[in-house]
Amino acid sequence: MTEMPVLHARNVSMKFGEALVLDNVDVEFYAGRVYGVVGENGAGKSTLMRILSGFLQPISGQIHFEGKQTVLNPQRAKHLGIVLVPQELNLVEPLRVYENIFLGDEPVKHILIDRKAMIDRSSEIIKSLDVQIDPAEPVEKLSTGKKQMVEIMKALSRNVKILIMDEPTASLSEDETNKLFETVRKLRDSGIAVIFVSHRLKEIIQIADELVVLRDGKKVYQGDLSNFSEAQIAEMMVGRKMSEIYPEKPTIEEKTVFEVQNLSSTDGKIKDVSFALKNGEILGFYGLVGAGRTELMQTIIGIRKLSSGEIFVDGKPTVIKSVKEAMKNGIVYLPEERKLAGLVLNFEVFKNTTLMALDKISKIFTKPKVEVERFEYYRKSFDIRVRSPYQITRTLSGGNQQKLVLSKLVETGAKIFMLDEPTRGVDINSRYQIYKIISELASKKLASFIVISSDLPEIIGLCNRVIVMRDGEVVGEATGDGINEANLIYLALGFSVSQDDETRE
Amino acid sequence: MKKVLVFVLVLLSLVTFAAAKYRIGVAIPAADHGWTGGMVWWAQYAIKQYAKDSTLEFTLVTAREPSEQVAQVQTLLAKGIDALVINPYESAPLTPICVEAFRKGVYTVIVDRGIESEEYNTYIAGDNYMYGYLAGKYIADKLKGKGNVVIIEGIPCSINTERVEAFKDALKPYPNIKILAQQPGNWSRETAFQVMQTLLTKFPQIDAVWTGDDDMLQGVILALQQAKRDKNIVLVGGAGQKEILKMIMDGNPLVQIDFTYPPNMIATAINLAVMQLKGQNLNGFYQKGMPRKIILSTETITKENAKDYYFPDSVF
Amino acid sequence: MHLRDILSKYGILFALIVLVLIAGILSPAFLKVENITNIFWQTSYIGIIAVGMTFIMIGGGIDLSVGSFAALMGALAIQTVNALGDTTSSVILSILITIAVGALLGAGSGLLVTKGRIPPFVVTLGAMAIYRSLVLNFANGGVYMSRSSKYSSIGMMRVLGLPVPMIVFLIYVVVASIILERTKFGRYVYAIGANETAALYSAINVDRIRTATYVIGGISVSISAVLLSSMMSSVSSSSTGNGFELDAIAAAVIGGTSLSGGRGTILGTFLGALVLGVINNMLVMLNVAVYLQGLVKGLIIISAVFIQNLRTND
Repeated sequence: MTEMPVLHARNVSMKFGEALVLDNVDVEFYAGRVYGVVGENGAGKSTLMRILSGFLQPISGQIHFEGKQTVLNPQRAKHLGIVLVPQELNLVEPLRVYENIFLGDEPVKHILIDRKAMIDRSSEIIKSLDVQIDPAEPVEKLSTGKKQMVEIMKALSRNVKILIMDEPTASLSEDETNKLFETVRKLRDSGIAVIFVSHRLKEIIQIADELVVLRDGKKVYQGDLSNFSEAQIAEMMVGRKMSEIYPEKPTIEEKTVFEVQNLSSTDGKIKDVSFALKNGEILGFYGLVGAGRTELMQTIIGIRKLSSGEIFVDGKPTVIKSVKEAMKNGIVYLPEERKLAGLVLNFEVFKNTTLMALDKISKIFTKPKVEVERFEYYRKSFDIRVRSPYQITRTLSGGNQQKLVLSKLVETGAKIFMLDEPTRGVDINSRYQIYKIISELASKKLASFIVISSDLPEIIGLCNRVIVMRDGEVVGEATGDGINEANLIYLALGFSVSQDDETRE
Repeated sequence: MKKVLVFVLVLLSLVTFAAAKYRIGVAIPAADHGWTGGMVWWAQYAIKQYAKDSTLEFTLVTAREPSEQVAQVQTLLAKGIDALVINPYESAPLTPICVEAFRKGVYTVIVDRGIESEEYNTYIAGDNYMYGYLAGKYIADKLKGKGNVVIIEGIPCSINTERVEAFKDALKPYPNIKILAQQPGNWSRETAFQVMQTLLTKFPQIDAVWTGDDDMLQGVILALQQAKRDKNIVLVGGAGQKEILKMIMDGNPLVQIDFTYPPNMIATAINLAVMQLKGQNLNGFYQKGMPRKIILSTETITKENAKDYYFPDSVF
Repeated sequence: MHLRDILSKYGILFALIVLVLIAGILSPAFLKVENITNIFWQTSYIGIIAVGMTFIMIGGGIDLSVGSFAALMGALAIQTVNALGDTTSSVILSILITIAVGALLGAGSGLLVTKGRIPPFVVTLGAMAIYRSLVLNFANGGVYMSRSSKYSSIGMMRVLGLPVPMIVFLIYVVVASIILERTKFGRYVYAIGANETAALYSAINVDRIRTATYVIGGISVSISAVLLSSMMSSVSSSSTGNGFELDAIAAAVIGGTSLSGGRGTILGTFLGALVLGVINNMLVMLNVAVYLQGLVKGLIIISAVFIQNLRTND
């Protein structure tokens, strides 16, 4: 490769307040290649992308465009052909596709906007990408995948040279993702440099020609990726071996601490479910979306009404009609949507830790001092990273927020934890810490866990036993070596249990 | 047997039909301050007078805003009425519907607030100019042409403006009478109380207060009592509210005069409509028809005649 | 701290001080002790209602009925005293009855919102119409007059030279502030307003807490109604309380309470109510022309909130 890079960030550093978020990063991008940029939350990906597209000025280092040093700002970047497609799409929903494509850049003929030229040009671009979109359709009627395409077309209408895409597949279906990848390849072949930021390592392997790995604001790798597996890339991102991510599975006591018999819900989402949880066990619940796992937990803690069935806590039949009653019986639930259901985001962090167990601390008056002490305990033991106990919860990263939810649950002194997607949207480091917390509590027989997860490696790496649900029913159970990807997927899809290679075909 | 039943039914229906010989619709604003409350009371009072008269049927509606009143009159017209007595909420929005009623041949009586058309039968209203003027004249005489005056007026609107201008006209010949402040009391006792409280702290010497109505006058009196400045001051309100009339009747030195702007004009208007429908004419009038425009005079109430204006059962 | 931080934290206090200074310069009589106590006095009844409104709004609700609710409670207090006779014990009993009925009606609104699942806007809009119509009906559109001189003296009484309504207002603000910001209940009010679902999953009885905010609202309205009706020794069935809901909501919002719940303080509402009181007083003091009063009032309110919002603008 003797040609010149189209864009070169030379020894770029960036600070926010005291924190060094980019440390002397040097990356080159050549025309006609797709770059996969990966890194944990907080590794500096977004900051780097915002610098490359002119929205941020680095505190040191330079940007070279086609060999010439330049100072970027959003207008200049646009002029040079550097386009950022943000994660939150930037379209005007009620306007038509062609109006969006040329928004702010409308072709003009005799003072008036040249509608015909807009439609013709749009049709050309649509044709070149080989997608099915009517240029006259209002954008709000399009699927997310097609909206993404419109965003790319917007870039193409402006002679793009470098296309930066931040998590473009986050809300796309698999079909839409494949379509997007086809488009990306077409763009690459036409000589555009595509920078593709994603959490999904599988997709990076699929689409990228070259890999850029950031960790703690430093570039730790740039180069070929054809020889890497997902796990190896993840190891580079975390700086730790994958085998170390899942702690050793706890040993289980024979004693049953929690049992559900023939549970059905009034709305028919749960049908005749029975299972038991042993002391110190981590019991996984796997299933496809809509299998009824979340609904089952909500029925157990009294948010949904049960029509029949019994619940036993420590062998005693127990009636649970509200979250409060569940808590009094030592059962707590970590909801799936952390921001929606787990935390009060505009509270100071310590108030979230004590929100559920406030009765233990205060009769009538709150005791902020005691509460802060309680928070400080978890801050240390769970490694919750905050500037102060009075920091507003909204400003915490996903991982730290999730550890905060855990602290709220643990503070109640519960014995049975039902965790619904506990690591969704959580960076790898925090995931590791969350697994450690779960494992430690289980090993010391302080608590038993039910873990709902759609992340197979997590279920496999973490759980002693896995129950598989489908259409509101329990359809299978796996233990020991039976906890493997193939088996769980087959159960979840509704095939009969078989680990035989031939029947799999 | 069957025949008898049919006969009885026919007779009954004739009787009920005959019962509603004259149907009169009365449309007025809802009670949102003392004076409108009084008008609602007087409308009900007038209707009650005719309770035994089986040839008359009344429908009384009150509205909280002009569009509601338009809808109410539309409903009355759809129902079928022979006379409409209406105090329009506002002139312009109510004009078309009143004209429509008139053109349909409904005997239309407009009360107090005129419409922007001459297509109606009779208009009856109070005299806003004299209402303000007489108050000003009285204060000027009482102060012997010298002193400090405070005006607490009602909600800004054309009626209010007319009264305040007339009040100032009356004071014009007296250069030594100074108007210290002119502030709105929104025809509310509470607001007038607050405004007066503040004015009393600001001005050490106030010789006379004119309020747009007696409701506000009561708030002013409370503020004066609280500040212990309820001596040597001339107070004038207006509209003849019963508590104030009682004070005048009892010879209370604080208030000695009042001027009418009677809410019972609605009752007069209802009577006019009834007389018209029944073909009666006004006593002493040689003309057969009802007068087109009636401006009721602003009457002066003093200790001597107060009992003629005092209706303890009225709410105003 | 940067100027901007200071402004955002104490913005409403600054706005109030600036307002007082301007008024004081333009009309020295404004700064008389008598006038300042008058402002507290004149602010007291809207202020007390606004305190109750703050609880409701932080909990994620709204109460549009407070104006006609106050008229109804005032009428109730007057009629009860008139029926029981002019003695101290009957006055006290009437006040207690009024507060109890206010709490009960508040609970009714609260239950319709929580258990009935009707939006608070609708429930309280309905209540507004119902209360007003009840007051009008029983008085035939007229006035409720107090026949008890003992009752009427409460609103005009002074203790240590300060008017009783002002003293009640200040005590109420302190007590409410402690309840909202120092108790478990208060913490829950913030939690249900900021994130109802999270509160539900945190074992908080959302319905009970939210209903309780309406009970506090009802009690606040009752206290205010007693002060107002005793001060005026009457309640006008047609005009008393008109527009209170807007003033109370405005006081809370000017003081930083969020219309969507979860944010606000009693101190903020207190200052917000004072800003409104100072504006009203100032308009009279400066003899601002009638037609321009709305303009001045509107500009001051918008600027007061603008100063506070500098924080969210960066």
